[in-house]
This record gives sequence, structure tokens and C-alpha cells, in this order.
Amino acid sequence: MLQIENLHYQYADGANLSFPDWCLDRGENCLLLGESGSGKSTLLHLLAGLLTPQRGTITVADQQLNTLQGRQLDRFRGRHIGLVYQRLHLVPALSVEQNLELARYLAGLPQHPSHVARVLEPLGIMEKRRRRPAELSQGEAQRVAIARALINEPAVVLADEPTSALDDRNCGRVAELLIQQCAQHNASLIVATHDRRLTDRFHRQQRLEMTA
Amino acid sequence: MNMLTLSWASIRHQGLTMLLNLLLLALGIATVTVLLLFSQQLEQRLSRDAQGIDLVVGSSGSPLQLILSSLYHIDMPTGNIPLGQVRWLKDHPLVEKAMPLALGDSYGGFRIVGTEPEYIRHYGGTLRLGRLWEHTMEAVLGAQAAARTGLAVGDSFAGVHGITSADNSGGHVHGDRPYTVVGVMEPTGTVLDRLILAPVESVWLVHDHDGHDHERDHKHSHAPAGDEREITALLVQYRSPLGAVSLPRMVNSRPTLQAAAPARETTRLLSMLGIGLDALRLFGWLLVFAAALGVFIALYNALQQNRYDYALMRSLGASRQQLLIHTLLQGILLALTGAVVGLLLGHVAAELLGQAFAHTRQLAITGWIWLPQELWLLALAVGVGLIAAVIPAIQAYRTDIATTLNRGE
Repeated sequence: MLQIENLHYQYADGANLSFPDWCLDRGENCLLLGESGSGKSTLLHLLAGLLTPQRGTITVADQQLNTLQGRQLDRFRGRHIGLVYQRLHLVPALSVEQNLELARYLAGLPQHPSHVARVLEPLGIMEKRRRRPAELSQGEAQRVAIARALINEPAVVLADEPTSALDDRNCGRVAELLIQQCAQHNASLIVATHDRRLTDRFHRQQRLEMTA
Repeated sequence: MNMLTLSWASIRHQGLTMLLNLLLLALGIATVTVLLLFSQQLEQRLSRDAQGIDLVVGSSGSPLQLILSSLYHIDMPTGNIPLGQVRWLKDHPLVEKAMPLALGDSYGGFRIVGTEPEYIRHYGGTLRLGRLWEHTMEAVLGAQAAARTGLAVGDSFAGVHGITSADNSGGHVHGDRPYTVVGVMEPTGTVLDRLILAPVESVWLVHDHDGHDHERDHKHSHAPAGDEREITALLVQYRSPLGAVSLPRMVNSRPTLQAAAPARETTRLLSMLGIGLDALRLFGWLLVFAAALGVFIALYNALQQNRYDYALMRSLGASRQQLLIHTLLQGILLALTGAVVGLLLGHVAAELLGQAFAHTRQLAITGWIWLPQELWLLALAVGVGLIAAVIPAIQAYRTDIATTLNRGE
């Protein structure tokens, strides 16, 4: 479902990262652990096709990412990969509902109010759909971000430190929602974090070590 | 959700900054629009009223004043000339038409012009009501003069001495020699619309009678009788272009007469006005330029501040081209809105200004006409918006997703 083989990435400043071969089935979830600088974010960006590796292959939903480029890659990412960030990356000019519709529009998928309802209702924030991001609490905004990651029914959801800005109560809730919603939408979930509060909730854990 | 709603939402999100730029642009476009409407209508008016009149013969003085007073009826006459001195012109082989005008009085701000039926025919005037004059002291009203004064066929009125005061105060009222309205004309779109026309003898009659016992010091004196009758001007049409060669010289050789060519004087007038109009137009474009700069800075700043949003949209599947279009669209939308608001503002302003001043009212300048040049204005404004957005758009196109996302965390 999601597979990396022989993956190497070199930063512009020359620093090298290599990742162990690894694979994840559809519906499975995995925690990516490691200190800052260990390459968690870089791996997520590679998996999302936001960075291109110098060597190795990444396969997402039976598609080898390095065979795609430009417009095709953008489209593929929009349709098959859901992203959740640490900070709340909603477009501030748009309402909650419009933010979700934007995700469908940019992925080139048809828009219908039922799509928005389908992801917002289970997260209990349906009544906030006309609000702007600035009017939401942090927990609410993170739930909108989860909803947006799921609205295109992606094969995989990649979350980069989704809980480290949240207090214990919200952290637990968001982690639970992420796992539960991904399972419901049959999407694989990869969470990159150094947040130890999450360690016992996931099927699998993968530790990334610092490499020179 | 589509590009248009997205770009529009981005503009609205920056509320005040964008509103300021929008207003700047609108004011610039409005200024240019007002000037366009004014100069177009002015030129159209001037050329239509001067059509078919090759020479104006009147008392010596400023040739421009003679044209303004006798052709366009917007300035004071230069004085009167004895009819006897110009009678030869009527029969000259190079002259097609020679129409006398006797000015001096007004009613309700509209000039009473003593003339011949030929003058009405020259401007294509047709009667809407009543008939043409048959006797002295009968008057035919231009469409606008009739509408504004409220006079109808069968009414009578007394002329007021003097031709510029809009109200009836100040001048001497020729109460003992009232005119009777016998006809009202259809609108012609020419100077005829705002005149009260009467046989030239009526003007003589009013002043003959008057001149004996009242102010002897009128500027336009009225000679007692016989061949010493006076007119204010004679409008001449040549029979052949040869007239232009010899007639002005023949007229100017007589001591008290002068001949003025409408074509030349009108060009002179427009070129004098043109300097002022050009300065104002430059000012308008300066505003547009300032607005373009404002739009550029606003979009540029927005891009710096919202790099994150752009990276985010890329990560949601937006292509580089879509971000480019998104930014350009913001510039275009802003410019288009500003230009449309500016055009509407310009038309309202032109109408209000046209109503506000007596002279523009006389020229019937209105804001309720649309000129094809306005489409150019619109296109130009959109071009300006597009250019202002080009650099920010290229930057949006180049947004590097991964580094931008990393930097923000």
C-alpha cells in the first residue's frame, strides 16, 4: 500500500539522509518517532511528493511517485494523500466549509455539500462550518484540519506533529479522532512526532536515528 | 469553490488595504472619465453648432469672443454693426447664405435672438407646436428654452435687457413690448434648443422705443431708424472655397468690422482648454498609477505574509500555474472592480458637474451617455492590475513547498 525502498535524500547543504526500507498496509497506522533533525518531516515530505529523493522509490496507492511530475504529481497528492500539520494551516480568508471545498477543488474533484457534512459531522464541528479559522479554538481548528485531510478519501494520511501544540486533553482527543477517522475512511495513517504521549496508541512504531 | 471565489476571498480578507487601492483606482478612472465625457461633448457641441458656418462677421474686438457670443451664445457680444455696412455681403457671388443676428435681451436666462427663418432652417429646426412668426413681436422657442421657462404657444412675455443673468433680476424689463409665443420647436441637439427666436425687426422695435427715454449708454446701442439699423453679427456660409480667400480680407478692411472663422477660433479655444484638460488627465492617470503601485505592494506583502497559504495550497494539489493565476486574478479583479466603480463615479460626477454650472448646463453636458472609449479605459485598467500582479504572481509560481512548510514550524 505504502512502500519505501532504498530511499536516500540529500539536502542542498550536503547533509545526507537514508531511510530503512519499510511498508505499511492500507488501514494500518504507524508512529514515526525521532528527535528534531532526525528527518521525520523530510520523510513525510518525501512521501507526500513535496520533495524528490535522489535515490530510491516511494510507492503510494500502487503509484510510484518518481514517475510523476509537475501537474500530475500535484493532482495525485491532492487526491490520494491527506496532510495534517502541527500548526493550523487553514486558509484564513476562507470559512471552514470553503477550506474543505478548496481541498476538493484543488484536487480536481467534484464538490457537493454532502462531502463537507460527511467529514465534519463525525468530528462534531458541523455547526462551525461557516466560521473563519480565526474564530475557532485550537482543538476545533485541528479537527477541521483532520476533516480536510480526509475529505478527498485519500489512501494515506500524513500528520506532522499534529498534537505537540495541544494540551493533554486535546492531544488525546485529536490522536483518537485521527486514528478512528482514518480507520473509518480506510486510510493508512502515519504520524511523525516526538510527542511521547502518543506512543501507546499506534499499531506500529518506527524510530528514525540521526545520521551524519 | 473555484479560482474566482478563492481570489475574491483573498482580496476581501485584506479588507482595508484593498479598499484603499480600489478607491484610488476608482478616483483616477473617474477623473479620466469625467474629462473624457466633457471634452467629447464639448467638441461635439462646438463642431455641430459651427457646421456650415464659414465666417462670422461682427463688430471689431476679440475674434474668439465674437464666435463665442454669436455662434455658441455663451459670451457677451462684442458690439453692434450697422446693417448697411454688411448688406453687400448678402448679394456677394461667393456667399451662399448670410443670416443676421440681433442680440441684446433675454428671458429666463435664454437669449432672445432676432434673426430670419433661414437661421432655423440652417440648424434643421422643425416646429413641434404652433407656427413660425409672421409678424414682429412673435417668437418661436427652442425646445430647452420652452421646457425651462414653461412658456407655451399663446403665452406672452417681456424681454429683459441683458443676456447673461439667469434670473430676471437686474436688467431693465421691456414691459411695454411683450412678445407672443407662436411656436415651439423639436429638440435639435444644437444651440437652437436654448434660444428664443424672433424676427429681427422685433429686436429693433423693442429698442427703438426704449432707446429714446432710457439708458443711452447701453453697450449695444440701437440706432433710431432707417438704414442705420444695427445687428450684432452676420453668419456667413460660402458658396465656394474661394470665399475663404477674399471675403475675410474684404470685411476686415472696413474699420468697425471684423470677420472670424469658426473653425480656426474653435481649434484655438480647444487647444487653450486642452492644456488644462491635459493637466487634469495627467492627474487622473497619476492616481491610476498610484493605485497600481498600491495593488502591487498589497499583493507583494500578502504573498510574503501568506507564503504558508500558498505552500499549503500546493500541498493540497494546486499546481504552480494555479497559484500564478490565483495571484494574477486578484490583480485583475481588483482593477476591474475599481474601474467599474470609477466609471460609474465618473458618469455621476459628470452629470452633477454638468448640472452645477450655468455654462455646462447651456452646453447640455450630461453624464448619461456612454462612449466607446470607456471600454478602452476598462481594458487599460485591467492591464494595469495585471501588470501590478505579475511579480507577485511569479513569486507565487516559484513557491517552494517543503522549505516554506518547514520554515513556518
